[in-house]
Amino acid sequence: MNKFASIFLLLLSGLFTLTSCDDEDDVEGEDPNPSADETTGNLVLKMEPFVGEKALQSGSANTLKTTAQERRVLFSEAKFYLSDFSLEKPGGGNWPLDGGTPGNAFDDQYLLYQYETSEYLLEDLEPGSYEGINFTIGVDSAVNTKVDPSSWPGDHALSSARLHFGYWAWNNGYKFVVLEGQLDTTDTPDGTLEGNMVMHLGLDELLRDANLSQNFQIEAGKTDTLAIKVDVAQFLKGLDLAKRHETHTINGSEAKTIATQIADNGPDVFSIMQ
Amino acid sequence: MKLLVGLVVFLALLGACQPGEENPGTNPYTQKAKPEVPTDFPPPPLEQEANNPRSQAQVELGRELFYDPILSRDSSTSCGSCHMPSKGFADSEAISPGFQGRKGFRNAPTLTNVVYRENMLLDGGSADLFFQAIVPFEDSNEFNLPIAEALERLRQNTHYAEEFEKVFGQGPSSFTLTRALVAFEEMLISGNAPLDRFRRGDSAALSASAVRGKALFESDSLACKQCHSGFNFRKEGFENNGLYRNYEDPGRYRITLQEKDRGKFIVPTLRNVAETAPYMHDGSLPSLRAVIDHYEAGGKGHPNQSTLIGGFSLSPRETEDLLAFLRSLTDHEFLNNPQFQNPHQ
Repeated sequence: MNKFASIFLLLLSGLFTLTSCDDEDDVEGEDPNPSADETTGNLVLKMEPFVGEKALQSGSANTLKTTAQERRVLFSEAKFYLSDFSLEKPGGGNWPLDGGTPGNAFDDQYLLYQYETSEYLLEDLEPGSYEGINFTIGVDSAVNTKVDPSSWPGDHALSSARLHFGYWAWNNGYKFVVLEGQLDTTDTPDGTLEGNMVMHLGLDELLRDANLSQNFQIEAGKTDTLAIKVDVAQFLKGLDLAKRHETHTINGSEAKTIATQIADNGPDVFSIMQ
Repeated sequence: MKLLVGLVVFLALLGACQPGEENPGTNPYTQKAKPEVPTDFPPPPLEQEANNPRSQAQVELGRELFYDPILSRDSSTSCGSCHMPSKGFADSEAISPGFQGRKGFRNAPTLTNVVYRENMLLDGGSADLFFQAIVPFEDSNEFNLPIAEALERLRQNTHYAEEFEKVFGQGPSSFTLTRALVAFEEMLISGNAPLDRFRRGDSAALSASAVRGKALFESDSLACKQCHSGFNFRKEGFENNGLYRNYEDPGRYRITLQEKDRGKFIVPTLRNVAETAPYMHDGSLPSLRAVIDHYEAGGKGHPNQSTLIGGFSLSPRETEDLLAFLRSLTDHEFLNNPQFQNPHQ
């Protein structure tokens, strides 16, 4: 394991120590120093899964149009990692969510999105006005292949203890985007779901940034909400799914081409819902 | 004088046996585990981590887990299924079966002295033992069981739940599970083969045939030592040994995507090599004799083939001598070490 992870673990054990001391010092009924809740705010990212203009159907086929033809796809898995979150301040400044409070490093930096869950909480944010939110699709290269996934706390987005943990079994690094299911692969779509879709996308070079512009407020002691449309179909835009419905990113040049196209489509997957 | 001696002994006993305090030297939960490293070996590179005590009990817990099929989805496969002590911690099958008998596409490598390796997996796709410990869980051909589900099984198992608490002061987690498994693997150090005893001065440890084979092995004409040298009979790195003209398995290329790495695989240790048949990344060569034949023929001529593989010619006796030398790398003390065997049998 590298030094980065070791430092992280030391930091974590330090946090546990601090937390336990605070607990012992707390006295019921007394008002201690202003808590984080009163000086910082929270933001819920309400990330609604869509296929085109319709909500993503789980358990039944969705119709999507990646090329000229419409095609039916039944998603069994649609998940991806987001990292390097930052909030845009008025005037162009960026506030990275890299540990706004001591010991909270990394917590707000990573998100494992699964279409079954739509709300994700970003905590302990600096109150104020913001003009947008930025993030990277995938796990940033400082961590992706370099930090042992078993070293994260069990509920952390990157932990190997997470049920929907997405890590290459045979190579270091996370699967940034995983799209799996059944689909119609006939040249002239007839509605049958006879083919399998397996899109696994990784590698540092396929990290892509998404920038969403929207004015919003973070208020001290409050939890605000930012609604984001996640159009999963956008990942597949331009792909002829009759022929191109499988990639493990580096299992051949064709796979790399598909993975790169999915990565390039990534920023268009996300948009602010009005 | 007797009084003085008696007083010293009494004080020593008093110091050693405080009421209610166990001697840490005999308590497996506090006693540090250290691999038994021969004096002519370098110290193993053990990463120092918080919350990883590397106690004797942790190693024992790791051994139990290593051999327990509870970690696979259908409870059929354990680490020890493919890494058997009697097979030099490798497998006698060319491709080992895993979950529901499914097979991957590579031969299981030996775990002999694995703690010294800088890269794991045959193509180096895994950075270290901690990363590697995750691989069989995620691989649908091996355990095919998400770690989250494996951890839940361990939490439901009274014995394991208690042992994790005693060893780590916390229950089964991704961190503690991998640290237990790796603690056991770190102990798998082999360094007492006949060749080792010969090197340490026991001239009777090798047969005359093995001594002749050693000279052949170390000769420039065979060039074996160019890749298989040092205390562990391997160098760090990856080589294309010319097994095929066209490789179905791209080897290291799969990780780096660089054409120069196509058909390259990690250079294996030759320790206990006589026990790890079949050979090569795909287990396609059934015996050491077949391996020698391959190198003698000079490889199939892949563009990335190592320039060290240019062919040579051995007489039947020389071949036997070389085989005798390779067999002298078998460390029976290591293979039969009771501390490394399956505790569930």
